[in-house]
Amino acid sequence: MTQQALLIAGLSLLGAAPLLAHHSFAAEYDVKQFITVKGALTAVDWVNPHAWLHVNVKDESGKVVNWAVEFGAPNALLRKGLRKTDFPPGTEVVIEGYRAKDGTDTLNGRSVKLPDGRNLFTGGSGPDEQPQP
Amino acid sequence: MNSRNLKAIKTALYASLFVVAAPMFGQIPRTADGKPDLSGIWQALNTANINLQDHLAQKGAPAGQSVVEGNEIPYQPWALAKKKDNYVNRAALDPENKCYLPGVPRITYIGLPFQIFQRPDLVTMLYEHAHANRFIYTNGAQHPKGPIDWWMGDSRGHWDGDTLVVDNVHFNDQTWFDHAGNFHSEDLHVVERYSLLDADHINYAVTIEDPKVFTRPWNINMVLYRHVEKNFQLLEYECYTFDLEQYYP
Amino acid sequence: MRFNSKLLVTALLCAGMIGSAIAAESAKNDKGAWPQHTPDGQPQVEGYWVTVVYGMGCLQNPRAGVGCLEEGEEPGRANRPKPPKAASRVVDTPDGEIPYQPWARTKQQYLLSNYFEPTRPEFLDPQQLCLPLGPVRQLTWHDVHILQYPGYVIFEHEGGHVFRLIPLDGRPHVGSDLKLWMGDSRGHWEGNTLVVEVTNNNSKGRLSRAGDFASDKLHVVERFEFLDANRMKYSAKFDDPSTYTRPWTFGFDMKRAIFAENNPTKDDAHYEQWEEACYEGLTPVDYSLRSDRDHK
Repeated sequence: MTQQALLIAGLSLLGAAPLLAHHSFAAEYDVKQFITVKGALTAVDWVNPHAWLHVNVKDESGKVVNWAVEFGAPNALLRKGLRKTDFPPGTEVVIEGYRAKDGTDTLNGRSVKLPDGRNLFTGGSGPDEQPQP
Repeated sequence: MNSRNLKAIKTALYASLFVVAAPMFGQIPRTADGKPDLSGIWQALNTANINLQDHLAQKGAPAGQSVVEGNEIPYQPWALAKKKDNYVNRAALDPENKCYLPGVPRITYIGLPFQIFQRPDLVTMLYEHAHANRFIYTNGAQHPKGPIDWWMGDSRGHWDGDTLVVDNVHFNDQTWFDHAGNFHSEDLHVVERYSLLDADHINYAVTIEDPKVFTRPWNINMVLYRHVEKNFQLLEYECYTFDLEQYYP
Repeated sequence: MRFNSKLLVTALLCAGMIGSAIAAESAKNDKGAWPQHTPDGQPQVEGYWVTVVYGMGCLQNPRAGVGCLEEGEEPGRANRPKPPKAASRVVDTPDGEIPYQPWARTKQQYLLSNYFEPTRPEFLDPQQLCLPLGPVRQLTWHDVHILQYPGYVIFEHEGGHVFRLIPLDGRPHVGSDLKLWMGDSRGHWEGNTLVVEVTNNNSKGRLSRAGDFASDKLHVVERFEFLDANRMKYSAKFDDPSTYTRPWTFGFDMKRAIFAENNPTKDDAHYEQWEEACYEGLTPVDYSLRSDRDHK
């Protein structure tokens, strides 16, 4: 990719619509249940309108439960040059997010911390942008 | 009037017959930059969407002759077993049941019209089926680096003489080539060749390769027909809305 | 005679001013002037455009939450700072509200009141299910890629795979019994304004997350007024006598999407619109309804 194209791709993140603007967060997820899960990635689905991370998490009894964590659209990550192969199964992650209202092991993810301290969806150390209505 | 003038007039009249008659002889329309002009609304007229290979009629589905060269799809042994399983369970498993984007080349022959818009740097194809669209960049820009999982892949085109050659990669493994269960992996690579046989017919030739699934590349061929009815236009086939539209507005 | 440098400098400055005045005059007609034109004579406006203020929870204050609720009122926004009020997208009624007939206002309030705890499919906003949002609302979700080919303007919407074809040749609309998600558009240019008449609307995409809606009798006339290379003013006259007490205008500002604040660039030629399948990626959580026993 040329320098110019990279620059423009970067600028587009500022000028274009917000990343997490697909749907009604408030109707699907419970803002009162903000939790943290830790575990190893089992799968990464880089699909629109939301990328999904699947994580094996040990609960209090030691049983392993696979959680599904919803994130923003993957095209923004693709334009940054990231690919799903950059996050192989087995990678340990710490995820914060809001639990789904339907009671399943599903989160609307706000941040994913990788072992080296990077935040996956922003590339920085701050929390993700809040969802737009 | 002398005989020389008369002869000149006769020659001119005779030549003019050819000028008027030329379109009937299959002359193709061209754009300002000299390329064959594919612009317009097109549709396939076959049953490839049901089954790419020779097939007899079944309830609700007509018979058809193979569009596959040699009528053989060269599956690896494991893949042939999976294709047979797909076929048996096709009523439940065909991703088109859920109206997912059909991938390439199935979008071409899925049975609905599509419109081609052409200019030197970009060919845009808009499909009535589920508002699918493809941008075929003919400006020299290359495929982005993979792996990328797109339903319709990424398309880059160039002209080889009078043939538009379109290279497609970056597919997910979720689509079928037809309702008969013919499938592929994420390593699918599709090369399409569009050439005008005459003003109203496109010869559509496709090479399919996927080293994870097939033992060698294989080809399909068909003709696409131009819609010439007055005021013909694309309508909508939003198949994913059929169960939901009753609730709105 | 001694060379007078001050006089020379003054003379040069004057010459420079005259020269640049001449240059400015000729610039109007040269390659850098806006707008350029397509081969078929349309003003050249191609590229990616987006609303200046983003949001479709509330037409009256597009930055507010769904249903125009303020801080503390909307579940999920209790801890967020109150955003500054943005101009209503309803630009020509006295109170910035849609002039619903009473039955329609009742329906809109009914849909909104069930938005946060949807118990039936009709309470799921169409955008949540990746349904096409209709010609007007679709402009308010993600970018729109405007493409121009001879005799056509094409809107390729970046959210989901939805497009709108606008023929410019004055052909008739399709038959009035055909109701389409994205309507049936016919356009023409008036100077630098694209005027589009949209009929055959099924209106099933609604108009906002707050349950705003029109019926399938809706007739819309849009004006895309391109002000310069990077700014456009959009207005859509809504005419639907079965739903509203009078016609009203849906309006907002748009900007060219590929630039940073204070640093616009015309060169978005390298930006490519990549696939954003929507419906294909929905999961059960997107369709989930609350049962009555879940109600708090």
